[in-house]
Amino acid sequence: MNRSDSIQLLRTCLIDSFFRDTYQAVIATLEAKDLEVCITDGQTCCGQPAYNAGFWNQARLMAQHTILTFEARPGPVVIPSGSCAHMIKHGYPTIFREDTDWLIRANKLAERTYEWSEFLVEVCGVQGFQSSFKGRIGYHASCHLIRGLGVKQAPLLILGNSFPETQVHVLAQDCCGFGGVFSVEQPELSTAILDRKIEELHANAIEIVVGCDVSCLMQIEGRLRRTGSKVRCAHLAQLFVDQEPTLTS
Amino acid sequence: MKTFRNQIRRALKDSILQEALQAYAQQRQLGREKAFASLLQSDQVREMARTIRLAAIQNLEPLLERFTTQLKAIGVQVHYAKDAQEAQAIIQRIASANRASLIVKSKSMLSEEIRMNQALEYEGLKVVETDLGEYIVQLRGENPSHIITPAMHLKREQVAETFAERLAIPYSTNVPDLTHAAHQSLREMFINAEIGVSGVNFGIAESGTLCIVTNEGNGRMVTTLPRVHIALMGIERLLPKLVDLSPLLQLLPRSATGQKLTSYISLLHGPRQGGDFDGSEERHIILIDNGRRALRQSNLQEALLCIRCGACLNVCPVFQGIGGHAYASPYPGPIGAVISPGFWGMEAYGHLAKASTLCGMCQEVCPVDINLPSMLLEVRQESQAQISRNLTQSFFLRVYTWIMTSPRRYSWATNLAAAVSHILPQKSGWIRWAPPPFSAWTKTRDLPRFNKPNKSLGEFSAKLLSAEPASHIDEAQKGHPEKAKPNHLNRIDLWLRHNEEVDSEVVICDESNLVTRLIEFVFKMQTDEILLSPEVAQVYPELSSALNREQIHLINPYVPLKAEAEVRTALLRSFDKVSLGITTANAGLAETGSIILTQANVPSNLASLLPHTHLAILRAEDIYNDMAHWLGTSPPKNTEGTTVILSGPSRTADIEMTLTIGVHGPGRLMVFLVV
Repeated sequence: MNRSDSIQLLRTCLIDSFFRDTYQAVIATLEAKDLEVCITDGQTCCGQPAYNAGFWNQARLMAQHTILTFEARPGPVVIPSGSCAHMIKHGYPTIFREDTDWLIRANKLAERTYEWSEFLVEVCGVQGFQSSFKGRIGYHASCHLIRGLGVKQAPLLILGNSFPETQVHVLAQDCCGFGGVFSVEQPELSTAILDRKIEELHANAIEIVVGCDVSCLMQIEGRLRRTGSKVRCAHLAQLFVDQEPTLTS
Repeated sequence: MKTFRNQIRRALKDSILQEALQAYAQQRQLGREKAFASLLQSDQVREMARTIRLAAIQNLEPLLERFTTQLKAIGVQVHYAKDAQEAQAIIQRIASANRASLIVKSKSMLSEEIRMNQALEYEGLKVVETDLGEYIVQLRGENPSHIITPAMHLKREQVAETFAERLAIPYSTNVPDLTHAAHQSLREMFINAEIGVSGVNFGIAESGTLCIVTNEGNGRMVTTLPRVHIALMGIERLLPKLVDLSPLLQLLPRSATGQKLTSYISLLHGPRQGGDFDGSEERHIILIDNGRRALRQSNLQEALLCIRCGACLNVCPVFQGIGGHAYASPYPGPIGAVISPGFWGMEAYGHLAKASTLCGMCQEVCPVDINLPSMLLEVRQESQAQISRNLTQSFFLRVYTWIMTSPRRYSWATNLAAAVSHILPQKSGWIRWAPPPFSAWTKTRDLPRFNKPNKSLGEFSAKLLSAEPASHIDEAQKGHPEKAKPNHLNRIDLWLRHNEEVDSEVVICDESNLVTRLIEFVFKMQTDEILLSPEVAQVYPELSSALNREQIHLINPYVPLKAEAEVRTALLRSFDKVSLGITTANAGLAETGSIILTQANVPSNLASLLPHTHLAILRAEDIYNDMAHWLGTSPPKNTEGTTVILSGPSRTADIEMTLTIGVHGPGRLMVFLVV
């Protein structure tokens, strides 16, 4: 990217509603490359909750709203969430497979959509950032990011170049049990899967869990807080700004 | 749906089950990873396998026709069943035509699917499961909980109790003891049964070959000992060509059990013919649809690629949490949550797809790369469109969509949510309790509060510390060293090394000392009887005369054609007493340390199947690199009866994943390699 190119940030409804620190940190990391970060007006939810629950008619309505919103400007659309990026890149083409007009528009959006870490590393050539965080970091590779989108290396590269090897522990690539609607439809099962992840955190003396999907991190931190643990979660971007990395709203 | 939720809760509270599930999943995943590490270019092999399966499903009807024609040409009786009832009726007809009273069965998920045992038992027949895991669950009156390891939900203590009670043996938690007890009790069944029933892993359209993949040897037993063999096969389990077996067999055992190859791969052709010494005299195949054609016409078509390895079950966090029984379908796990509703309807099984976090581990391990997360979403959509029972969810999602399609409503709703979320009970800024349906979250987890409405996001700002990484990061840290490539080994060395891995014993000799070494071995075994496959005496006449000189009784393991049941049984029983069987092997496979016995060259199956020790003589020049080379240059002809690819002795891990050697087939495999 050239200096002063502009990108659109799809901030995601979750970050917008709950996690303003994450939001600011994401913007700061993108602005580091002198990109103009536009927060496009009118954005709401990408429609993933409805898509995952099987309500594809509803998902289409939200997808159309999102496509319209981001068609207002050209250039890359960056999303600080693996699962929302996955929705746009893989979910939209599926729900519009029988509607040629919208399929074309969906594919156009998908082509210029990037997950945050993928964009920084692949497009901007970011190696890493400076951090003042000294605690032990656990990296949670979220499922939609690594398996859905295939973004496996970018976050590891940022972490590897920003911290000494001994400070970072890459957690097993197991699911945290969130799964969107699954987390409230099957709360017992969701928590049972989550507790295995929590066990792993404690076994490896993790002080902070970072990742590129705040939905997983919200699930993990929700359980950590409920069980009285001091371990906290934050989006990876939050390790590189002048604020305490925490999801706290 | 309600019962499913209850099943899930019950499973989560069952501490024995939880322990079994955890131990199982870990071992299986490690085994799989290790096995795949030995497969060079596994991505290409996987892609090749997917392409083959995809082509098979796309050309299903013409391939089925070709398969049927080939089968009939080699004397197999072909039946077609559109559903479970028709399949049951066909089996009942065959059983009554043969006045059968005892049926032995090897593993077949399809038989579970068509409820074969129940249907036959209703007619007064006795059906005995012979796979160790299946046998255990049958004795306990349960259903299998995993498509590969049916008794994975049980601890050894539970198996011990069942065996003590049902087999009248002393209580023992020693796995080899338990396995031996099953061996004893089932051997008699194999000998007495009139009919053997098996599944089919792959049917080869061009040759009418039935490929059956097993470890214990029961698959060989049920397709060889009883006079009649019935194979059950789903219409989708086809491969166009014999050579297609090579990539598929590189993937199936690795994915299923973490083996390079299972102990036994049987390639069956037609019923017993002229020169054969044994084998089923009547072979039937039942091609079963039972929902497969309907699924092929749906958006779930890709699920028909499945080769039933069970890898997706082993990595699934949901399956690991609840086990197989909670699904209440013969097919549990991610693939089960797709094909159960795909075969038998959304009404009965659509809810299974909800039990998934869509984490994608299933697709990652799938040997034919089925996009299971996307299939699960298709099921959710289809199920929602057909039967929307969940009114609360429906209401919420409609309201949610109404809000999210208007920025004004969105802003209004988040402000309201923020106001409400700030008055709910909370601790350090996170909500401890919320009313239903949000209570489903707050029961076990804190929930973050919505941002305060009066503060817009713009009022906060964070500054980046520096756009450059700190200098203390060593350049050397970046990148990964290349994996060391294995040294080039020649075929024989490779074959020898792999024999160690599969626990077979090798004696290297040459033409001049083969007889001496063999006699030494027979003496050491202190046996005075040998089942001798007829070709051994022809190829090595000096060996049989030497054995005769030593007063060792050489038994010709010939089963007369159309023998009376009593004669047949008595003969099999007498063969069964012999502890050593000798055959030649007509090929070896370096990649897996296997030996191959083709019936045209080795007329007796029994010599390599019944005795505790099987001794095979292999010439070093007959060792091929791998299955692809062997199939490419010397494929078994469909006139050659049964071909079996042996990799080590019979084995099982059905009880607590404890490897036990020697279940139904030989517990010891000796190969005399003539160099």
